[in-house]
Amino acid sequence: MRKLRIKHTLRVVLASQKEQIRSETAFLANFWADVLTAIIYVVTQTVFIDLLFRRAGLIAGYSRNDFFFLMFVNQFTYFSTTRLLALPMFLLVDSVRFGHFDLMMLRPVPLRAYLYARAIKPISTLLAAVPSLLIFGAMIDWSRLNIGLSSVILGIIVWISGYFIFRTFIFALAYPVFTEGDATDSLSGFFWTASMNQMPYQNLPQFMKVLSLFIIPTLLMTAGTVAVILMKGTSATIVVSSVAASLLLSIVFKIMWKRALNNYSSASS
Amino acid sequence: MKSNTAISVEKLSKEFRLRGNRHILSGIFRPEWQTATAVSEVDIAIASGEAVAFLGPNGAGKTTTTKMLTGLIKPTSGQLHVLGYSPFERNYAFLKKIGLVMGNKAGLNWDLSARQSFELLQKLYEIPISAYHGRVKELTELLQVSHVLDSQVRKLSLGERMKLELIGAILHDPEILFLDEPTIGLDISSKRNVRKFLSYLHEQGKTLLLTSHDMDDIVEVCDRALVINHGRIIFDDSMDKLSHQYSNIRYARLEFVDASPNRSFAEKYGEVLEAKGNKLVIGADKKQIMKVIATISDKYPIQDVAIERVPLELIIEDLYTKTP
Repeated sequence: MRKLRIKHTLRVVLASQKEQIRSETAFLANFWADVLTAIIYVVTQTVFIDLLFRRAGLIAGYSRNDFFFLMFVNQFTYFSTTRLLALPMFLLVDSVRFGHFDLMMLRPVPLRAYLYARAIKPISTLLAAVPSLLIFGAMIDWSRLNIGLSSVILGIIVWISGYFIFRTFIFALAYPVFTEGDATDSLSGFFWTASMNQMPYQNLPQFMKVLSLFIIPTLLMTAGTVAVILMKGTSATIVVSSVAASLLLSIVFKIMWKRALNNYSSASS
Repeated sequence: MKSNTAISVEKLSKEFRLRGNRHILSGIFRPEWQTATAVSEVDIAIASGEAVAFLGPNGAGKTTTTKMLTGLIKPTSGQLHVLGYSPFERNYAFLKKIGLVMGNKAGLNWDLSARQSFELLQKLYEIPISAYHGRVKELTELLQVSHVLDSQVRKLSLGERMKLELIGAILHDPEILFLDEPTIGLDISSKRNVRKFLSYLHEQGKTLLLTSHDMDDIVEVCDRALVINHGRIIFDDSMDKLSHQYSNIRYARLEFVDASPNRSFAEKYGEVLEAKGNKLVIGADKKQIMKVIATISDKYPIQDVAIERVPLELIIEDLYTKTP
């Protein structure tokens, strides 16, 4: 039964994504601006980092090559969090505000899976993310990175933990829409966290490291992950604390989601 | 619960928490909350296959009740079963058996054609592919929208869009259909078409709960009325019984050669509904109405007369005003 339900959900997710692709390609010009913005950002960042490291060989224990790797992970995190987690929350806030959430609730599929499938735009995500990742990826001398199989696995664990922490964090910002009727401004607040990701993790003050577990999870996902993969600092502490925080916050997320639906009053007809 | 009961509701209530502060600053720093009762201890029983009108003035609790029946919002208290399910549990088998049409909400993707949106619905509701094609063909032909099935939804007229929304809501062949203002904003021809279609669904044995401010929708589709006001049911019986207590009253629609008599003059003979220009609408007992017309026409020559039963709008309005 459970297997059948998962199969059905997957079929619906695929069909929703197919519909999204059709929607996206109906307005082709729409996403070229996105691609252009991403490329301009990457090029300016690349030039800036290059200039910076010509004057100083190492910054906070990071070489030019390490720093490009940090930027690579930063971009990967940025696109994953904004496109796969933040966009669904913006859709959630809008649909609750304007009453379209009613129609989502009536569909015989897991509500969150359906919400995410309706919000994620596969084509524009790929078109914006791939050029950025390719440019930063090309700037890295992969053979000179100080990485090992175990450090990569631990880094992926930290990143996934951060992903679940971020899911709770961004939902907490969207939650007021269920109690107050709007959360557009609080949700937009997540963008400030994106500007705090490009800092070497092990050099951060202790309070920032703790904060990254709960309110700046993208910092953990980028700087924390890179510190673990490049074996800089105390990896065990980062891994254990991020896994523990993600488990705790996943429980918080489930409780909040249930409370949100109980509080849902549905926009008037 | 009887086996043929589609909807069973006992002492259903819903309260909302509202912000009560009048001043902006105190509202931010010290919010005060008030409780508003939208629905209060409502009892409803609807059998399978009934077409029931759910009527009430704005803010009476119709939409809140419908949303509780469809599982969109959680009741504050009371018992509620729809087809044997507790709606708020969002059981998938339950969701496959109900359909909801909201006249002012779009379920179809505006950037795509209706056919493309229907394809997603086919996957969502796991409709067998052959049944799906047959149903799309049948419904689009019945509602006369086959020719726009492949046009982008945003380019369609309101009437075409509404008909396609209706098809989207019943594509999975639900047992119960909740309709909230399904003909809102439509032209006369589209309204007629939608009503005919709803009557067809009723004949097919579907249970309908129809909320509408358009009394023609109600008269043509429903055989029972539930009237709600201030969150309480104030009438629950057949459409015939609803108009029965007004069956002895008639309205005369008079058109005078010159200006109509003033209101105070006309009020001596019956209840004046309208007195404008050379027109007057006056109500009286059906045995007296001819005498009233004759008396008035003695002083004010009449060029046209029409005698009507009490319109449903007025019956309902009268019910509302009688509610404390």
